[in-house]
Amino acid sequence: MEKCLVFEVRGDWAHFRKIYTTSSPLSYSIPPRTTTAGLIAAVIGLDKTQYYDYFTKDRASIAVRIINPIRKFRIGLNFINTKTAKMFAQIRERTQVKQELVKKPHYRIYFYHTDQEMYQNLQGFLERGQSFYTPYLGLSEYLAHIEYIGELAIREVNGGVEVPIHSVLPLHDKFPINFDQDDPDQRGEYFKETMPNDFERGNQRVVNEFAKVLFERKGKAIKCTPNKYWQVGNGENIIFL
Amino acid sequence: MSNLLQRSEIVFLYDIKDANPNGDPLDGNKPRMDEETGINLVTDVRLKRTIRDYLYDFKGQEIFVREIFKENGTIQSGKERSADFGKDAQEVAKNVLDKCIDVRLFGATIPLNNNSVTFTGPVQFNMGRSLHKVEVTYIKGTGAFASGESSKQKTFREEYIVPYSLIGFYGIINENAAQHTNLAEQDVDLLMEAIWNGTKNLISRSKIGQMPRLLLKVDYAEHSYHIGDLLSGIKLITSKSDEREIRGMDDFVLDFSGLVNKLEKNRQRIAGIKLQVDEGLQIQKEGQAIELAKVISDLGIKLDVMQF
Repeated sequence: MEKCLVFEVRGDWAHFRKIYTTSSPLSYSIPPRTTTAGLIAAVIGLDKTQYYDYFTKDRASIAVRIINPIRKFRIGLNFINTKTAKMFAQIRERTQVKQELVKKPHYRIYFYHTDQEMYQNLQGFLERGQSFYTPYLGLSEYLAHIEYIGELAIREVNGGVEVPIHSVLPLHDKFPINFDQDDPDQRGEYFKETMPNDFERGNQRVVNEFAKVLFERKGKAIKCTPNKYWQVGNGENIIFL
Repeated sequence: MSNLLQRSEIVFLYDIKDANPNGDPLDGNKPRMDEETGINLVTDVRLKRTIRDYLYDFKGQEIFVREIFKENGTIQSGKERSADFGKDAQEVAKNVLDKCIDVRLFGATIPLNNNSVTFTGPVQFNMGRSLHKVEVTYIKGTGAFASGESSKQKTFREEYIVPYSLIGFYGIINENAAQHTNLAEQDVDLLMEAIWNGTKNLISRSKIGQMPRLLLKVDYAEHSYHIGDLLSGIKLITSKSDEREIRGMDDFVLDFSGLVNKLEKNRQRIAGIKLQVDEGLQIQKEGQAIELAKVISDLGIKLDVMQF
């Protein structure tokens, strides 16, 4: 990998439902890797039942950076009570749920794919400002706007020294993270979320890997000593999910 | 098959006076508010309900997601209806798409025994939001009846309203997703009519003060392309020191500079624009009052004025 595609995605709201919540839907703070794959699939027009195998970790590399501080909002919604409604087409029963949303979400996405055709296909759509299906952030009513940043050079660096990492930090392996409170740069609000990260092979909508992801709420770079990371042409350091 | 070949973007503005545009069922049916910014919110499903009800009540269209309004025998029984849509998943999916305009427009998840069929709707709306900060007022009144048999006095009723709110919705019609639900051009025409007239004809106690003010549909000539985020090109300007004091269309001007600039930049990619504007709406561009229809025509974009 020598280059990667960088684009930003933003909207008024987002809801990336935590998979263990159903009737009280909570949202992840960032789009999980699997969600980002779905978003890219929508842009290039892969059918929603057909894209899973294209984005397995051995083929697609995805990193996410937080641009707008993560703020959450809860909204009460009237849902159809499918437990008691006998005929879905004629509803009488309702149930109220609270849905958690991310407010003014804005992320930067870094993408690389081993299949050049796929990579160039996405690049074409991004350059022309096109998207095949309507992109959205988690749920179809939270429409997304995509802005292409460009194709940037990228270089793999073997770690061992402390660097600021600008993307969210997947904790696949153990490495030191600097939470030094005396350093004003390092004061922040750190969160860790466990989220789906990869699909089962065989085009199945089944998660086969979860990742622990660390991030600073306002999107500050995190100082750490990773075993390896990637340096992007714009000066950012990232780690792929 | 769908005969819809172009992508479209929709901007819809409507206002409401002394009423409740969309109550939060988990917050005393209070108008939905983003407390941090004072912006009034309306869910996409509220607008879709408005559209569905209009298409069903006034246009004789079949609607899949529907509530029973009356039980005087004018509506089919559940069993008859079920038989209408078929027995297996394939048959149900086909028949629902053939019959129900709302599924062609907005998609649906249709639960079946141990199975379900999901269609993503080609038409999607963002959550609606007021273009200015809005005040929520709490009003109390007396009810007509007592709360219980032994009571000697009438009950109180209470409700929340907004004195005024100008709400903007933004939506996209996706021509590629339209192929999956067989969305047709005439469905889209009905959708536009339903947005306007449905909002106007929603005569219930909480929505009586609603009026549609602007409906703009941009049709694209280039496939898979849309400008995006059109609503953010409209800014509300008021001379009131506090936006919460806005009480009507006389109290503000809408600045369309951002939107017109976006249209101008993209005019080669636009096939045409459909527009309906309420005469009372004051629109300006870079400080000058403008007539929106004229400005669009002057850009060399084909303009159809809608009249619902």
